[in-house]
Formats: sequence, structure tokens, C-alpha cells
Amino acid sequence: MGIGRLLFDYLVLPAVRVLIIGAFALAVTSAGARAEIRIDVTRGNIDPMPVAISDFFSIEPGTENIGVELSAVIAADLDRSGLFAPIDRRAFIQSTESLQARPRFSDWRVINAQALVSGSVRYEADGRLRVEFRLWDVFAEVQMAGFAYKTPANNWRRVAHIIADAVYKRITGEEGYFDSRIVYIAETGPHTKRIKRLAIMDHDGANHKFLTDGSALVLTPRFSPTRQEITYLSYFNDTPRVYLFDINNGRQEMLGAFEGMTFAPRFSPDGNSVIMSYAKDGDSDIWIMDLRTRRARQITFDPSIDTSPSFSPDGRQITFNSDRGGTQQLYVMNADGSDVRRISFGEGRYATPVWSPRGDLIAFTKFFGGRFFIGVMRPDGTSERLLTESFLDEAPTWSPNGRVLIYFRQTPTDSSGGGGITKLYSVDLTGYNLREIKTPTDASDPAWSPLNR
Amino acid sequence: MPMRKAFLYSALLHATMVAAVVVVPYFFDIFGVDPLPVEDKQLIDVEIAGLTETTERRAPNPLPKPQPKPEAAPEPEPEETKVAALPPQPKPVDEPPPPEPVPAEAAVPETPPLPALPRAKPTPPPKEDEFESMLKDLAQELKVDTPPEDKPEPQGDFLEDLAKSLDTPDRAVEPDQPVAQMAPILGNRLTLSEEDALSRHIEPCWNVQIGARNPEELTVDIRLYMNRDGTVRRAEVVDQSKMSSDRFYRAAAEAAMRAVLNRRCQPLPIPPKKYEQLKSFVYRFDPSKMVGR
Repeated sequence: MGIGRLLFDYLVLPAVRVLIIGAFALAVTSAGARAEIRIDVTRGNIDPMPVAISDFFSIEPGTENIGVELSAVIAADLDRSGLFAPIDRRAFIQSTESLQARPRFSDWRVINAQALVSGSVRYEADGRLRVEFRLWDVFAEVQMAGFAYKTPANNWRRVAHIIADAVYKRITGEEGYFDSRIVYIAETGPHTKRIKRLAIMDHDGANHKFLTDGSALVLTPRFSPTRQEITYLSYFNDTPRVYLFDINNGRQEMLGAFEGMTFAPRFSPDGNSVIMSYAKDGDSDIWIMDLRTRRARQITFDPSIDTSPSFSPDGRQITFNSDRGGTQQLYVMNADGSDVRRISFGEGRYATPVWSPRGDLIAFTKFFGGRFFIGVMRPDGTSERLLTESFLDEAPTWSPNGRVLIYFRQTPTDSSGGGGITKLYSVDLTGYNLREIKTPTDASDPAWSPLNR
Repeated sequence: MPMRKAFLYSALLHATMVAAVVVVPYFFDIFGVDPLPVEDKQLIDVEIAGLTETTERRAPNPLPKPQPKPEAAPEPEPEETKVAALPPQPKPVDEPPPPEPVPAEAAVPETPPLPALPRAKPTPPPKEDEFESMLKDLAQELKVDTPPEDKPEPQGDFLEDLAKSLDTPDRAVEPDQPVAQMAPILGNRLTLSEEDALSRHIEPCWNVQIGARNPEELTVDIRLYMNRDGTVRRAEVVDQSKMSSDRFYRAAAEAAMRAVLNRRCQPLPIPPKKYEQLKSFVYRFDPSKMVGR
């Protein structure tokens, strides 16, 4: 007898016993599992989900219109996403008033609604609006979400967007993007004397406003991820320079005093830096400027043209395009400029890479065979997919949740000087749901804001 | 001395065994239990953006337990976080002094193509003001209210609903344990075409969210308890813990539940002779082959 024997008694034997019992249990359960039939479903329908968005019930007189308009804006948001199909309200059976007590789910199943949004609106004693909404699962007959908001009456549109975002998020699991804005370049006048102004609007086109007067040419605006600021390119004395624009007060400021051209600016994910191209003596490299110290640092040193830098959402990597390999291609490098690797290897030229806020994809413009494409690929260059194609598609920008891209499309100009119409379009990253975004004038260079805060 | 030593070892090892038997399960218990609170927080955190959660569905299966829901304690928290989170923003927005003579203002009046904007012609400043105030609204004024308590769920036909749903599982429980139908005879197996029919039958009712992130993690098993006529008596998400810990999975699971609960896809094509095998079975919804086609 000794420790060996003890070990055997207390460790090995029980272990063997456990193994035997375990094997037995496994046999039993796997027999049970085999007995239960499993049917694999690998195909479904990709139609938008039918949802019913009831008018918001007006608890007191005077809010009827707001109640109707709230539900209209919510329905329009959800419809635009391509993931939801709001049901014509004329088909609704249950009244908005009785809906306040509780939905009669059978009434909503009859019209094929899978989810139902109900709500109410009234004024608070302080004159503000109180909006309440609930999201219902019609089949499971349960409430999925319920929130209430107070806001100044003239801010009701934003509440509608926030509610649409809440519905989107609860049903898809992803953050929404409706409570956001878009800046773009508004274009007017003949092609030979084009006037380009910075303009801003809600993501649905409401609250449109021009930010600059058109006296200087402006291009490539980008939203700050953290502040009400835009960085963009403007020509000053015929030299392109990177500027900052403060949306709150309209103040413009040139970034840095470089000798030469700076262009293609973009914020870092923390909003504290702007990354851009700096061209001098025929060589263009990528630089980063710290907005707090206003100090600039060079990141790439290649004699080729490096441009269009865009950070990954974690700030650790940068994607950009370069002709260092002979033609314009996409590259990824670490944020300090190390470990540069090419990621695009398809036919044609690649430009304007933009890292998705969700991190999983890089969107780009591709030029091949005389046509332009908007596409996406993984950051390692795999799974390239082309989403759109036309005479000229360019400059993709991501929705805050990384689901949707906006870009601009230009039609060809004809011999009589017609055509050349430039408009904004949106497309889901699956390639579905291509839509024009209405703007008062011709539009190019869109940039999506982060979600409003 | 050797005896004592042996005794000591023996005691020690016994203790280890006991610990292994007693503590380990606890340990796993802790693991099993821990996720829930964490997930809850996650859910609430995630819902920020100035939203107050009144009611979240806790039980994912169609067994409404309405009482716990309304009183759910966590609600107060999110409000406070949210309200606290908002104030920082207004400052930058409030500061902007009266609109400065920015180019923007000069620009506004000369915008011919903006007929829709009624305030296009009036002097620029008011427009700027309005814009300012809008921003202010955005940042500051949007306040979250307390959860609407005034409309508790129990009302009207709710009791009926409750009774109905409480009723259903009862019937389902005893005879339908999956264990009960172990070892079906080989000859009673479903044919491939019968399996295919069951799969195809549910496809039109399954709304797949293509373009979701990591679709390979969104495969959902739903266990169905069937009536003889092919209608669904009850359905449940098999992986309840993932359902409550992962909001993407929850969304996928709820979509799968909607598919099997959608009466447009019932009755399911259950061959009468195979009812015993299909009294309860699992639908596995796998979106990974559909994504980003």
C-alpha cells in the first residue's frame, strides 16, 4: 500500500466510474436526441416583414395631427430600410382608441401583421409633448418594448425617428440609423460653372439646410463621430485645403498650414484627429493631425500616391488606396503605418475605401471596363461583392449601424450639354433596396452622421 | 506515522472528492446563473439613446407571465443613466452665441431650388435660430419619461388570453416530453420527401434577415409540440440562455418563432401515420446560406 494505491483508489477508480456513467448517459441522451426528429430549414423569404403602425392616439384634443404624422414618419423610416413593410392603415380593424387598452391580436393577424406599433400622445403641464409607444409581437401576443418620451412639440419628428430606431433594434437586434443626418455637396448651375455648397438634412430629407454659400468650391465632407463638426475640402486661392466646419455656429477653420495640397480628410473614431492626404512635389502621402495640439504626423512614406485613408472603428488600422503596385488598389495598415498589405486583387481599379462602423466590411468604388461599381469586401480582402453598377457610382458612406450605404450616381452628359445629373442613392449591404434619396438640387459626396445624441 | 499519513491523504482526497461533487456544480450553477443579470444590464445599456424600457419580454416562450413584467425592478436604473447621460451634450449646443455672420446665412436667401422651404426667403437669422433650437432640442430637451404605468396589461380579454395560454402548456406537458418517444422503429422514420415537405412548408413564413452580422451564429432550434391535425400546439426556443444573453440571437429566434406560429403556414404536412414521431420535433432555422447572396 502506498500513495500509488491511494491515488488509484481515489482518483483513477472514480474517474473510470465517472467515465462509464458518462458514456452511459451520453448513449442514453444521444439515443433520445436521435429519436427527436430535426428538420433543417435553410431557405426563407427575404420579403420585408409586414408591420402595422397605428396612428398614435391623441389623449387630448389638439394633438390629433401629431399623432397621425408621428406614425407616418415611423412607417416611412421602417419602409425605407427595406426590412419592414408597413401595412396600409386602411386595412386596420381595431381602432386606435381601443388599442390603448390592449391589442386584439386576432384583428392584426387577420391583416397579416407580424408586429404592431401602438402609441399615444398628449401635452404635459409644461407644454411639452409626451409620446408613448409600445411594440407588440402579434403571433406570440406579447409586448416586445415600450417607451415614453417628453420633448418640445416642434421636435416631434426626432421622436418619431427614435421610435423607429427602437422598433428596428428590437426586431433585428441591430442598432437603428433613422435618428441621423446626412451632409452632402449640393450642386447647381451649368457644368462649366458649377456651384457647390455644403448642405445638411435629416436622413429622410427633412430639415434641409445649406451650410456654405457656394463662393468656394467644397468637396468630400465627413462627419465627426463625436461632435457637431464636419471636415471637408475647400479651395482657397485655387489650392485645395482641409477645413473644419462647426455646425453649431457655422465657423470654418483651415486645418494646418501645409505648403501644398491637403485633401481626402476623415475623422478618427474618437473624433480627436483628422487623417488626410498631403501632396507635395507630385508625391502624396497620408498624414494625421491631432485636433487638440494641431500637430501633424506623416504615416506613409511611399513615393507613390497614397490617399483616401479611413480608420477601422477600433482605431487600430487604416485602409487607404495607393498606386504603389502599379494601379490604384486598396491597402490596409496599422494605425502607425506599419504592416502595409494590399487587400484588393480583382480586375480594375479600386478607390475610396471606407471602413464599416460595424467593422466587418470595407466599402469601395471600383472602376472596371468603363463602368463604376460600389462594392464591399472583408478587411482581409476576401468576399468581394459588387452591390451597384452604373456609368458613374462613387463615394460610398456607411449608415451608423453599418447596414446601408449611400453614394452618388451621375448620368452621362450628352453632346448638347444635357445629362450629367448627379443624385444620391442608398443601397442595403446585401445589394437589395436601391433607392434614390431626394434632394432639392443635384447632390454628390454624401456623408452619413453618427446617430444623433 | 504512515497510517497517519495515509489517513491524512485519505481525508484530503475525500475532501477533494466532496468538493468536486458539491462545489463544482455550484460553480457551474454560478456560471449558469450569472449570465442573466449581465444580459439584463446589457439589454438596458444597449437601449440607451434616451429610451426608457417599460416592459421587456422576459419569458421568450408564449407563456405570458404578466405579473412580473410590469413591476420589473431594473427599469428605474436605465432612466437615471439615461437622464444623466444627456446633460453633457447640451453645453456645446447651448453655448453658440447669436448666429455669427457666416457664409451660410448669406447663402440661404439665394437658394432658388428650395421652394418647399417656407422659411427660405425670410432673413437668414431666424433660420439659423431655428436650426440652433433644433439642435438644442436634439441634444437637450429630449427627456425620457417614466415607464407608462397607467396602462397595465391585465385588462379586457387579457384574462382570457392568460387562461388560454396557461391552458395550452398543461396539455402539452405530460405526453409530449421528447424523452417519451425514444427509439422509434426504423420503418417509421420520415422519408426524405416528407422531411423536405416539412422544411418547404415553413419557408414562406420565415422572414430571414439577410445581411445580419455573423449569420453562422444565428442558427435557431425551435421545438414544436404538435396537434394531430398538424397545427402547432406550442413552440419554444431550445437555447433559452442564448436567447436571453445575445440580442442578435434573440432577434433571430423570435423571427423563427414567428415562422412556426404563423397560422398561414399551418397545418404542417404531418403524415397521419407518423404523428407519434412528430408529436414533438425540432425545426432548425439556419440563415447562414442565405446571407449576402
